[in-house]
Amino acid sequence: MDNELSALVVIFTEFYYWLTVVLMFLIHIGFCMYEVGVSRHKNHMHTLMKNTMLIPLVTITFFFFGWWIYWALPNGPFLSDAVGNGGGIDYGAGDANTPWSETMGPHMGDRITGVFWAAFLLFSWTAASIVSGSVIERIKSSGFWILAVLIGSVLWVIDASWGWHWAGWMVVKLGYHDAYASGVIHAIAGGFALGILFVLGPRIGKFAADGTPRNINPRNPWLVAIGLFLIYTGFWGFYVACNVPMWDVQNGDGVFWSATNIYLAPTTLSAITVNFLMSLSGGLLVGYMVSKGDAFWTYSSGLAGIIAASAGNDLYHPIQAMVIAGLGVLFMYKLHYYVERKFKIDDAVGAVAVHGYAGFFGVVIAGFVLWGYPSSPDPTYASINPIGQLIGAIIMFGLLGFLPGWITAKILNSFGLLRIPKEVEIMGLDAAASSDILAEEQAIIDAEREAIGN
Amino acid sequence: MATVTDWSTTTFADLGPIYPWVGSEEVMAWVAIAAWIVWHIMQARMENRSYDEEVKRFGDAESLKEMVKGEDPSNP
Repeated sequence: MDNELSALVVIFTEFYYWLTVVLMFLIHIGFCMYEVGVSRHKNHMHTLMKNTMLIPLVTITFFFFGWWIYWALPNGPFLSDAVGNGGGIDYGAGDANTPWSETMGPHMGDRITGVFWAAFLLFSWTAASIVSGSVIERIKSSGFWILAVLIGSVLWVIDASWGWHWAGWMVVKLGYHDAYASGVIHAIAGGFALGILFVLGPRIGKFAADGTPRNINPRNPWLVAIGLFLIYTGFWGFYVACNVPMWDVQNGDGVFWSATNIYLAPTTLSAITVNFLMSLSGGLLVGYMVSKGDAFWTYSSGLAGIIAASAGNDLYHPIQAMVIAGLGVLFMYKLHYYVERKFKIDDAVGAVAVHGYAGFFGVVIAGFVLWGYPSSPDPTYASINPIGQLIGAIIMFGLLGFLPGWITAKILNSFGLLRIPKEVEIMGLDAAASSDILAEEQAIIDAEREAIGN
Repeated sequence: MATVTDWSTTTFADLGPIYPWVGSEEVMAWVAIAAWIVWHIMQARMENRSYDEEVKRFGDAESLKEMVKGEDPSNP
């Protein structure tokens, strides 16, 4: 900060990440609108608060231990020496990111930790919000918020340390490539949600006596559509936050400044802008056709399309991004209804499909389309390949997603912390509050009548 | 108590943290972590209590039947 040019680079980078945080706030407005729009009127306010309160809980726990996890665990389950420190937990890197580290507070020597932490935090909120929609109208808030902390401040951060950190063992050993988080956020959150849903059970009335699923359709499709549109808008911030704005990518002599992906390999903001739009379009076009113009599924497919192309959108040609998005939507839509019928899974918003299946697909397809590309500027790392991507997708969706979701839901259920009483589900989560409000309104009306002598 | 008492004489290149109570970060963190855990316990108890009360007030079969009768499939 002692010359204008270096100060400009630092403060630009600080501002860049700050802006992404502001944009990503829109994702959460969108999630709130979308979930309330899907829920029945008798559950609106509870649904809103369930999603809202994950924000402070994931924030403080990400501060307490989530951020440390990202920096301390790139070596994986003690398999690797990815960062060249002998393997195991990287306490050295973790120390600067504990809740008692000086750089976590206002610090004249550090202008990046806070905004980088915040950008990752918004990803954490997203992981938890993804789960939030699938479990509406029957999960206890207390149980959900424990699950939210687990996925938002522990599990996705572990997967980021393994598959997103510049020296994560999955990148080093498997050539894992996931530029905009198809697996790292979406597949893991979808898998986690599916694990919970297996234990939580469906809403009353979702399945007929013979097992035929009924569509519990969105109650306010207009609110749902606007909510999803806001999620698209906030997603721009997500994409931009996954990049590093400027970095010298030239190895050896010479200098070449470029934006990079999270792995510090070159891309451009211009390229991801086009690919975002083309993958959104591919998703919308295929979603409209497979759902026969259903607004909920068309909008959801736009998002699923982006997610399906996200793993490789730093490198794909726009037409490749569009086609991959369309194929991803086809895959997730069909699989959603298959799983619903076969396993009696009630996913209220299709989150497992839009995020989980589309994310899984996105990671796997990148292994074929980007086969042979370097996963990192470091030439000793494995290059991108189908086997590495498949193993990565299974780790994200299954090992770090589905399995912990299922186990934790089982534990919460055994303590009576998972599902609301049947009577409360029938009367509605807002019933008591609504009844009290009604009684007060009536009392006010009675007082007004009395005042005019009626 | 104040980490900085005079900006005009400060050499910023040598300055690190500027928040109050530098050195007490670990204590503050552990107190906050404890408060977080207590919040979860209190919230879970509050929630379970409210469900018990709601079931007592409205959870009998007759009341539930009335509520379900009032549900309108055209405006759920």
